[in-house]
Amino acid sequence: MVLLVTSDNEQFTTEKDIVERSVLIKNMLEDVGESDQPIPLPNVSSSVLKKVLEYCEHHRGEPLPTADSEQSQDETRKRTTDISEWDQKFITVDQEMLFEIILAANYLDIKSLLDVGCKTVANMIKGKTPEEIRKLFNIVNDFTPEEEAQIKKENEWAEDR
Amino acid sequence: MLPTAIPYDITAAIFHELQDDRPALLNCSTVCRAFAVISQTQLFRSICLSSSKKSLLCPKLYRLLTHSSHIAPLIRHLTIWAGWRRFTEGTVLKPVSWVFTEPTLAPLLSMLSDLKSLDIDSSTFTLDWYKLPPDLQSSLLRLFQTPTLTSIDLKCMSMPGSVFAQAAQLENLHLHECVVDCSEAALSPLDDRSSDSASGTALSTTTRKPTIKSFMGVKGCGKISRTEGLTTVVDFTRLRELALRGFDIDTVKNAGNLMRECPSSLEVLRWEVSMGSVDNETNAHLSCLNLPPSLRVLEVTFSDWHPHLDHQVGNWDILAWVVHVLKNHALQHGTVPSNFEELSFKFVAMFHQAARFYDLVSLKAWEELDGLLTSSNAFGNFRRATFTLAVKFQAFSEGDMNKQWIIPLTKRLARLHARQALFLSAGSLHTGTDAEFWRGIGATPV
Repeated sequence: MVLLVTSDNEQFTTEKDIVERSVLIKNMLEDVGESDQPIPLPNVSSSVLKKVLEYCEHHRGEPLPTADSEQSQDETRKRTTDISEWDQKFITVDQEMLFEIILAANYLDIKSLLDVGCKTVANMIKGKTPEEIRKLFNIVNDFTPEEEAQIKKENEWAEDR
Repeated sequence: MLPTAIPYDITAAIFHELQDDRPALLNCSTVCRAFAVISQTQLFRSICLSSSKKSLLCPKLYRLLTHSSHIAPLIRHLTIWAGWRRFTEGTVLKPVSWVFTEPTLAPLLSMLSDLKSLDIDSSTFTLDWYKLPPDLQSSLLRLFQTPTLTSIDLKCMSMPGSVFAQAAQLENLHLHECVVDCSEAALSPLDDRSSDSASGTALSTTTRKPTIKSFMGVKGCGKISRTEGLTTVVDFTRLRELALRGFDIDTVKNAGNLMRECPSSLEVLRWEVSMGSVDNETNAHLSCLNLPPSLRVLEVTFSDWHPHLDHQVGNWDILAWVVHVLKNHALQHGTVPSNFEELSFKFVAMFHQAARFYDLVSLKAWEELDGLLTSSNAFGNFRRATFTLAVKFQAFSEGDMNKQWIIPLTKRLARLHARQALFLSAGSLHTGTDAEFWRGIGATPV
């Protein structure tokens, strides 16, 4: 068993093969060897870690991506639509939690969870106008009119091809 | 939250998921400054220059790169499609490609400083390096020297081997129906041509050969492909993946030469047998090939066998060779190569009327392979052995076909299922009796 301590000082006890989906934790466990020492996770809150562990437990036993498969995945994987039904349901959370999960997946180095998060945000962007995207993510348009015109002009080539 | 609180790498990963959705990327690029940078990274990451639809594509891109200098470094993958057309000169019909006449192509290529991969596709007629305009030759040579360039994929080109010696960082080299001249004469003159008269920039001569990790050599139907001597300009000693297409004496000799160059690094060998003549000499060379001990994956694909080309296609000797080399290795070392984990035979786009296909059923190699798989621990290192059968049918009588070779063959393959995984794919089997078919042979389609 592995003891994890979150940023808000909550303790989680979980099985090694579940938590080892995180490359960060796997490496930490390898470094410290057999030990009862708790692993501090100062960048992850308890509510987010709970979700992350739920994901890891569901995907327990699945092969971890290797360096080779990551490379080929990059070339061939389907974009945005190929999120499994369970993952879709899992990631149906409010926007704040969604980005917290993405940040945690990035910090803990759980590539498959990071992929699910990124694909979900990409799906949210699809089909929306620039104004709708700004509204969705509460983004301020910081372009000057000249800059915006310049970007549009540059993009003409990409539109034409 | 997205543009400010999320690190750049994550936002880039999100936008990477949108790389096939150009309208979404175009919309994102005008949301805010942070989004503009990352969207344009995706929008200009992969560029294809051709003349087929938009004749002004190349000049327009040149103008853009000239006016917006931040765009050129965003271009990482470039495909140049030669786009041949025919025109009449006097009474002679001549083919011509836009790459010979487009004045902005050479200066455009000179601006690409961060290119990672370059594809040149001239699949209709051979693009002869020596006939390219001098400024285009210079620009291409400079591209080959780009420190970031790791992959080159050329289709139907004829060029001197010395060109590859310029690409010091090259790791992946794919040559489809190419003629690479590695004669002494072709290897020396680059230094003479290395001063760029247009810009006055001298092209440096590389001090070491590029170290290739992945090589693909493809010989097409009736097309010339010559790459012998490539080892003089390119280092294959650390080759990890070798993919070959064709089964003639040149291909077999080439395979032998390359495999001898990398006795301890080759991990993956893929060999596609489509068309090409086979004679005793080919088989003699084949029987001399041995498996490198580092091999992990061996894949043999038989493809595009047409009945009217029966006289051109190879026989099943390569399949017998695979069994032969595995058997030999097991006899000599008590096991297959210690890293070996995947053996795959694929049959794709096969026309069932091809007479030679019927021989497949009674092939002695199946018995031998069966014997190998079920005897001793010789194959203990296999994690999986995959047998894929994908057949493209054409005007057939299903009953006859099943009876004559499909069922006997798949049952034969299924015997190997006792120890290994068996995957069968029906390809374009669309007879409406799929379920019955698969039940009949006791296998599952994938």
